[in-house]
Amino acid sequence: MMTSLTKGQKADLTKTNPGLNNLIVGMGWKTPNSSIEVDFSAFLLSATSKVTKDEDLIFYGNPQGPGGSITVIESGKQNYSGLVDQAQLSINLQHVPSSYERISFALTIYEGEKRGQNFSHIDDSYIRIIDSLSGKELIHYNIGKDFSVETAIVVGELYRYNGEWKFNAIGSGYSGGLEALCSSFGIEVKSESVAPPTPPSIPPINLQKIELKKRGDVINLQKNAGPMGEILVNLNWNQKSPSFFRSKGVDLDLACLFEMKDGGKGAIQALGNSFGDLNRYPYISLDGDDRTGSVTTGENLRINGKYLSEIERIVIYAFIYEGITNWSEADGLVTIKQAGGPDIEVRLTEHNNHKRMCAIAMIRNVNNQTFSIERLVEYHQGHKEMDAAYNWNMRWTAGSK
Amino acid sequence: MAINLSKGQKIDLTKTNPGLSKVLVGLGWDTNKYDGGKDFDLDASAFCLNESGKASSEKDFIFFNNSQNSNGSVLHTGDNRTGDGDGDDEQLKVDLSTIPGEVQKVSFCITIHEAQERSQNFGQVSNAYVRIVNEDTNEEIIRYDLGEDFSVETAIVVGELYRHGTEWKFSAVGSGYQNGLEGLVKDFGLA
Repeated sequence: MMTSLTKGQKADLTKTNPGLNNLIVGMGWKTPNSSIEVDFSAFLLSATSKVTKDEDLIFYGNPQGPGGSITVIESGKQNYSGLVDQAQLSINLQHVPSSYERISFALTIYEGEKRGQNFSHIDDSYIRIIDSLSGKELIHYNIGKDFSVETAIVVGELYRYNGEWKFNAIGSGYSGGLEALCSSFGIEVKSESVAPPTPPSIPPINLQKIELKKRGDVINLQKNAGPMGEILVNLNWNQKSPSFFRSKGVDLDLACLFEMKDGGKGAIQALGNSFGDLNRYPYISLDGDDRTGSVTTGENLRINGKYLSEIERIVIYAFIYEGITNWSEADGLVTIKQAGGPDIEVRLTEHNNHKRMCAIAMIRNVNNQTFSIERLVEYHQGHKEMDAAYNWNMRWTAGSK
Repeated sequence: MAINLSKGQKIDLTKTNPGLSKVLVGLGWDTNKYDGGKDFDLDASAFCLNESGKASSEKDFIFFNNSQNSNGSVLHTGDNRTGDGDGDDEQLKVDLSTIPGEVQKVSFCITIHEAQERSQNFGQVSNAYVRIVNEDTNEEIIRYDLGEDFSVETAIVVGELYRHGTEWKFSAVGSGYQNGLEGLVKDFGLA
């Protein structure tokens, strides 16, 4: 028999349904228009109602919990009791490690504060628990519209009580969106929307990293006694960051334009299989293409510093080859590493989601002594537009990889 | 060691704790961690009831606007509106030896202030409990965690101290009501 819950109500699950182990947690919502984007997530919580690690946040970007205990159903969502939910998660109660006391299910509005949207605008949000074996709906909770400022709602919680699993209809939330929700569960979220504006002062310098924060910031690579070694340019984006909800289709590619002292020019990029060569002209190479972003090390471009004197200048750029052009969610970070020198970071903090290409940094030969790195972070429609912006004067035709 | 009560349980108080006279009834709860909703304001109250289970006068209803009964044997120490801080959020002090003879039992209740307006109930309040402490020894005698037994209720008769011959016993009544303090006041013959 299906139990309809009201806010605050707690219900037995395994006690009243002996043998129950495999659940489907379904969530749904209705948005008045497509400008409101709702995301779901689940948090695996310890006895103190905190997560113990970032992986305890389950969402599209991290769709599986430990030991097959919880899985986001991405394809193959099923119809139960005449309804296919917008979000379905499958849960195996016995596989939930004993260190987890509760699983919280949440809905959040993407950029709700920025866009002035909250849960009073969302209709018919609900959560339901289905016995996946019988396909029967056991519990249903409509959270209603009784909200004013909330942009993140804890819809309900599965929790252990005296050796059984129960469900609590919560329906309460926060005005600070996913960030507030995460921080209530002990997850620190870096977000551009809540980060204080960067003061226009000297970039903070610590021993390991230097960040180029403003367009035009320039720094020279460290000069050592001997020849320069390898300079590693790494592009990364944190797929597991909660701000990366809609990341599935994005493929960020790292690439560069180079201009040699002898006037030779070219591009090194996965597109067209121009991977370059580290030990031969042009002494720049690109590692294999990371199409999914799931390789945690990201993409690497290497510059052989031994041949500094042959290189005039390089523009490091990233582009989105396919998928949604969404720089703001990709949250890209370029790190330039040099043996013996501090890491230099360029964050892609300004975004232009209408343009596929982002020129990140200009690397210039300084008197055959070292390279200077200049922050660009300028967006372009494509190769031609970027080429024109930096006077590369190459001829461009479309290619594919 | 404190006894964790289950609903309906009756236990001896003065018999198993000889000399017990001054007890403290402590109530605690956690603040609302969700910033979208309003704070929880839980109130403790007590009703001194006669043989027919009714309060004889308004003086017998001890709550935030009437801090004690006719002779001060049941005393409310003050209202806490937010549940901030550790330990008990509200306390009542009872001197069993001086409770007027016509009072057969003292019922202790917890209610949520403006529950309806704030759309709150006990299912949303976390870590709500009531405990009875021997005031002389500071020893906790009875503890009752409300969280799992109540959810949609807005008023709970947690338990009652009642006379049994010359002794006092305690009954973990644990009845929930959905009409808040108003409902209770009516139930106990006032208003």
